[in-house]
Amino acid sequence: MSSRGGSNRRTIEELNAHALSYVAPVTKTQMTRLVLGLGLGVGALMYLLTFRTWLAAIGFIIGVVVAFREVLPNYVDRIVANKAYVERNRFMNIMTQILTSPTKNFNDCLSDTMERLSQGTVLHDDLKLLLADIGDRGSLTHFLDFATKYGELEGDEAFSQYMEQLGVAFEAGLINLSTLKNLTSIHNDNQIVTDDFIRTKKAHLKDVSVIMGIACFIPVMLLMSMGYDVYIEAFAHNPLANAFSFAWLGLNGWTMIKYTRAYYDDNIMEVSL
Amino acid sequence: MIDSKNMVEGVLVDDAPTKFQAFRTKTKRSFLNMIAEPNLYPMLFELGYTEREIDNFMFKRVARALVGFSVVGVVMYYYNPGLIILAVLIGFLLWKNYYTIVSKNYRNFIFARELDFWRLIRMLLPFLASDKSIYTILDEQSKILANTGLVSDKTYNHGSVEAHLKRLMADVYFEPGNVFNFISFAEACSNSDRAVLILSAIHDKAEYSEDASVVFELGEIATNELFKQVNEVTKHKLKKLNSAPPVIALSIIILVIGFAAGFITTILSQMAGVF
Repeated sequence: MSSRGGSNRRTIEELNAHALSYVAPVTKTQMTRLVLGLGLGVGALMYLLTFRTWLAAIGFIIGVVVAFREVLPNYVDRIVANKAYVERNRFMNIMTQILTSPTKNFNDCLSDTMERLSQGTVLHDDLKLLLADIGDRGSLTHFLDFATKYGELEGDEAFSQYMEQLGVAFEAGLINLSTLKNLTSIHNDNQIVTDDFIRTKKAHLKDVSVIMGIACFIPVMLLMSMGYDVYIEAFAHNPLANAFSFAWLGLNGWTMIKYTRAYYDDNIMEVSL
Repeated sequence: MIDSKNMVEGVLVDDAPTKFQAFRTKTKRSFLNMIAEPNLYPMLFELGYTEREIDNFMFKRVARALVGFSVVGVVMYYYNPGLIILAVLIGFLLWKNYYTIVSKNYRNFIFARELDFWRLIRMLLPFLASDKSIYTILDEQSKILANTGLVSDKTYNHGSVEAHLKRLMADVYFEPGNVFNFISFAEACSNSDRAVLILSAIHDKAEYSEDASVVFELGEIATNELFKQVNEVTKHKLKKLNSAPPVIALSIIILVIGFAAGFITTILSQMAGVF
């Protein structure tokens, strides 16, 4: 699951291509709402602090850039990685169950499992290719390629090992069910822990947004208590007060960017110390 | 000189773990070792440094503390001789700082190694049911560890699970059937009794038995240990999140100070205009 989180940069086209290859991609509306929301938020805060339109425009641009660079890639990545992981998990569970059947041969098991998966996903396409290829000689290499792809690119070790074991089973004509069951249970456990972790973080984000909202309400309170004229003269158009405001914005912006990176870091097996 | 025991299939294996064992049994200690904290040298050894490197670190540490002490001391001697105590304090802090950094690194390293170890064991156990040799199984797992290894920092490479695993593979290759290789691997990678238990069970399964049921029982233990470590990871990552709310809440003061400063300067400039 190492592809989850992190701050890898991608273009929007790549993101869309990646997202569209899974069942229900992130819609354009969702993306627009995220980017515009952040841009307008920063812009509005900037206008409230300075009452200057051009500074508000700069704030809007900064918000949009941060949304495109920091938030959106991680946001899409998390959804895509989760869907892909769940799909692989379903494959492993169904496959292990069907393999216990004494009457079916290996190819039947694989095609039966594929029928139950969501159609049109990357995993489904890859499996279709695999099923077409393993009629040939040397089918173990196809399984190994498959395993390498998911082990190194997606970082899903248990699934990668599972596919390798399937390859060995197919080659030897003898299925080692206890190994497969064990790998499946590792995969299930990982998914449960990751889901818990994400749920905890979502609850935390709610708390932080409340605190952030209260912090942004302070200028409004100053404006209401001091009156418009005093506020403009003493705060909004005062260079010294502006320096403090920008320092506040910078500190909070940097904190929130760091928070975002930590928030989207869903990998439970790796930690950078 | 290259010892043939350190070569596996033509690849040189790092022998830092063996050096560490040799150091443990050594009785004579150098002067730098004696003035250091008693657990400093063992910690740095476990992190994979050689004795010469550690002596170098210690030498730099002594020099840094002395330079800090003498520079501040000379300045204070001319300024106010009573403040020479400040120089002593700074020298002491410089001296202590090194130990703090090393012990923090060591704690992180131990945590990372424990996680790596249990992840390795958890992934290894299912394959004991297959009829592969123990050497092949270890080899495959070491490749996974190399791909997704968690201790990626160069300084940790010698003492990492990967290095110890290579050592174990060398031992299994040259003297198969010796349980003590497995036990010393477990002791080097994890400090718990369960690690020793599991590794000796793995050895017994690989050498004597066709039935893997005992090992699968142990798989339960390995899962629990692994998820103990995983809980630590999630706790660590949640701690990162927890640093944000206090910063946001306390930084409101900056806004208020800014407003107060602006207010005062405006009033002062208006008064200057009046008078």
